[in-house]
Amino acid sequence: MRLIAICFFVFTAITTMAQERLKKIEFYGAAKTNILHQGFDVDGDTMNVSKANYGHSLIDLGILVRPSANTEIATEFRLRNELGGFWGGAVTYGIRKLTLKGVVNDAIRYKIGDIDLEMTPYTLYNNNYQDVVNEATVFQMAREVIDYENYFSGNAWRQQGVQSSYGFYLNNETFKSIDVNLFSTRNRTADPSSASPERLFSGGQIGLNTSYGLITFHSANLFDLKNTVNDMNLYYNSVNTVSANISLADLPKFSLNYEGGTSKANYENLIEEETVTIQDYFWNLGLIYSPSNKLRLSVNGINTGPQFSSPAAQNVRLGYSSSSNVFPTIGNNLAVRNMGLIDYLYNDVFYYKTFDSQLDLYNPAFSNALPYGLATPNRKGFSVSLDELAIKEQLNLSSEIHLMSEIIGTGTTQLKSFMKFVAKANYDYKKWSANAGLAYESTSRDGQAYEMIELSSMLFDFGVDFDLTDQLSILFGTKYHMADGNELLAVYDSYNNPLYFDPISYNDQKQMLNSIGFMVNFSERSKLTASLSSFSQKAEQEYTFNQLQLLYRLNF
Amino acid sequence: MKNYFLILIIVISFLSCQRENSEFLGGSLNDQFGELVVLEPFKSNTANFNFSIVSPRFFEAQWSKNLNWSLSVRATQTGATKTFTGYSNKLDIDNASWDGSADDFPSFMKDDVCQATLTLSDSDTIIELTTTVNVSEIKNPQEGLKVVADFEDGLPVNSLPFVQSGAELTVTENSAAVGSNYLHLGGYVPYDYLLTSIKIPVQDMDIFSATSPLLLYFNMATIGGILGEVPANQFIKIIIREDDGSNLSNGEKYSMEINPVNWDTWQLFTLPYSDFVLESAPVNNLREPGKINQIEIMCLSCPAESAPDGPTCPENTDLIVKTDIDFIAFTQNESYKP
Repeated sequence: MRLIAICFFVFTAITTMAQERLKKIEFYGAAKTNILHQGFDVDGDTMNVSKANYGHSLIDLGILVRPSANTEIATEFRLRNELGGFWGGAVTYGIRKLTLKGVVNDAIRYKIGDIDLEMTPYTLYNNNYQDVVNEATVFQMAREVIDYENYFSGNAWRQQGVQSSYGFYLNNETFKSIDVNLFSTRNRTADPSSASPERLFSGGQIGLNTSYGLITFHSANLFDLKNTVNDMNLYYNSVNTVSANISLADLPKFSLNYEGGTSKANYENLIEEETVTIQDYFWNLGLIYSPSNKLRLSVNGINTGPQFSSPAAQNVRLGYSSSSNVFPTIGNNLAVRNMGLIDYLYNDVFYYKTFDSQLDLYNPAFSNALPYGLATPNRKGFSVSLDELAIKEQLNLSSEIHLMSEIIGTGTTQLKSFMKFVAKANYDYKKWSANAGLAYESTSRDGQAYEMIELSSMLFDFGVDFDLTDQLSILFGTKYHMADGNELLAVYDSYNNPLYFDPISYNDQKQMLNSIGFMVNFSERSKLTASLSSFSQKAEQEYTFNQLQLLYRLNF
Repeated sequence: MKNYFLILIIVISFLSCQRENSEFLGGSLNDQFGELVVLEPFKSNTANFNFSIVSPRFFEAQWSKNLNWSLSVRATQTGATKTFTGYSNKLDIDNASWDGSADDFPSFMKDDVCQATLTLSDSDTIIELTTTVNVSEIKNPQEGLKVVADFEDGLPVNSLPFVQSGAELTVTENSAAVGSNYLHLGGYVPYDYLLTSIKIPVQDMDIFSATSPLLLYFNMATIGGILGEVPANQFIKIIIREDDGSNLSNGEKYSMEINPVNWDTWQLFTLPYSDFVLESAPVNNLREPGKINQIEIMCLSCPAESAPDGPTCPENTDLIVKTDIDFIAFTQNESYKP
């Protein structure tokens, strides 16, 4: 009996200890299988293959370790196997994430390792996709894969470094509290062969919460670390801004928002002992009218200087100059195939995972008014936004229009004028849900024949979902893009000044992607999507794609 | 009221910033894509260029866009040329002034009639414009110039020529680098490296006593022959002697080779005296410009049949050596400007 009592006691103790250990270590993860079968069709093409079948399976195993109540270590291991990679022949593995975070004295929060950083559209901001306006669910499934693989989380940049935040109250009726958020990350590793020094990205925000609203100082600094290589050139860029959201006491339905600041870039040539300094400023002042929760209107005046330089905010997600390994050439002369909507969504084109000091190449057929987001240099004008209009909780509308022009002409004293219009609608009715979006842009410039620019482009997204059961949905989506006209695309020098201009023209270029499929929700964490897609491009290169995709995702 | 104060701060903050005004960003579209049209004709500011006096002598023209242009002035008699290049949309006193110098030997001569050709080209148009100018007077001698030999009056006084059998050393008229005459060195000597040489006395070098050998330039015009008709490996050796020895003939000797001499138009050979290497026994091992008293020019080539020492070059069989020279001179601070 005593032996039974001892055994019971030991068993209970072990069970309790095991439960304690379970809290200290947790496992999570995600598994995905993506299988694509594509057919490629070009009239008269006998030199290129017409079918491609590829895909992969992967598992990301996350381990969450809590060595103490205030410390957490998160790591994710990846194991990936290409379709057809039998017996481990095409297996790759690595660490996808490693982050240590915690709280010191219940006051100062910190993160070390992989961190997601975002501030304002002028300082630190990963601009949105340019081939999306309000995408159908069937495309969102594929888009989430791109997001996940490229660490796109909202408009944040995934960086590696250290971040700390803390706040304190001021015991004052007007100035209530201060929040401080600081970070320092490694933007680029040193490369002695090209004399590229180590580059860091550091900055932060200091927010003053007042009775009038929030006033925040933002700082983003990209700079080279001296003596990490045999230095020949050193780069330093600093962006400092102040933003404010101010409620108007006399006009309770109105509020003001503002962000303004300066940038300063130093290019130091240690060989020539010369330093080039480029500085400029921007401001964005808006008036918001919000009579209820269902309506919000805003008007903004915008002025972003031609030399304003903010590397962490002036970027394009998609590497437009990249190409896919799927059907890389076209025609019997084996010309490089121009990428289209289907490549951007499904194939292995390049997305920028980080930012650098150079302005990225952009595609004016997709975005010419604000290719680098709100921080696009050399723009002035105003925008009107209907941020949200809800009707009977079934229909949600939003819209915005930007009327802009250049501040200083590029290559001429004539100025370009831009118009960008965006409208989005989401509708839910019983088992039906639909979403639609339209983005239209036009660019024009008068002058001599060689100065004249007339370019218009349109992107249309539409999708319908029908829930057959709680677990099974039928999905339909379409994307349509057109561009017509001409543009002179600036080629920038190392100081981001236009050096010369490449003439490009679109002769009524059209591309369309249609997709139909079904989605099975096995559970909240397990989802299978099967879709059939067809894509056609009518441009300088004309071709069609047909595609079958099977995408299974499991979170655990 | 406090709200308006905040708004005022915001307004002041962005009104206080100012940008530098520039006409436009980047390279001009007109320069890249605009039509190339001549706006002002190509001409010289005067028909006769007198380079002996201080007066403006330049070419003028204007066209519709900035581009890389080239202006070539060529004397019809001597073949002397002067080239100007630049990137602009006009020619004026700042970029097309001419001081009477040539690109290389031969130099321009008095009464030369010159044709000037301006070439404008962009990606799809080439325009050539011409005008004519006369050289009424050549430029004044360069400051710090000491001419040792120009062969206009034959061999220099007290020079010591040495000519092997089959070799040639003759003062020749026509097509000289400067003036009318030059010294032809060459011939066919298949049994020795040295074909011919000449020792030329140098006097009055005291003017360079205080000149650093780094800043004293030896200059000489040289010309070979058409490759295939002359040995590819013919060369010239220059020996400069100083009078720092115990007697006039055993001073230090410094030498330099021009190897090979494989061009068929007059070219300036110029080098600081400091680049010459000591060839004799040292006296003080100092290059002393003020003590130079002799220059020896040797014409050499690998012999086709036999050599006292060294290899032979059968490929030079029947190839006549030609290493002509003209206008031997020293200059101070800079090379001679033909």
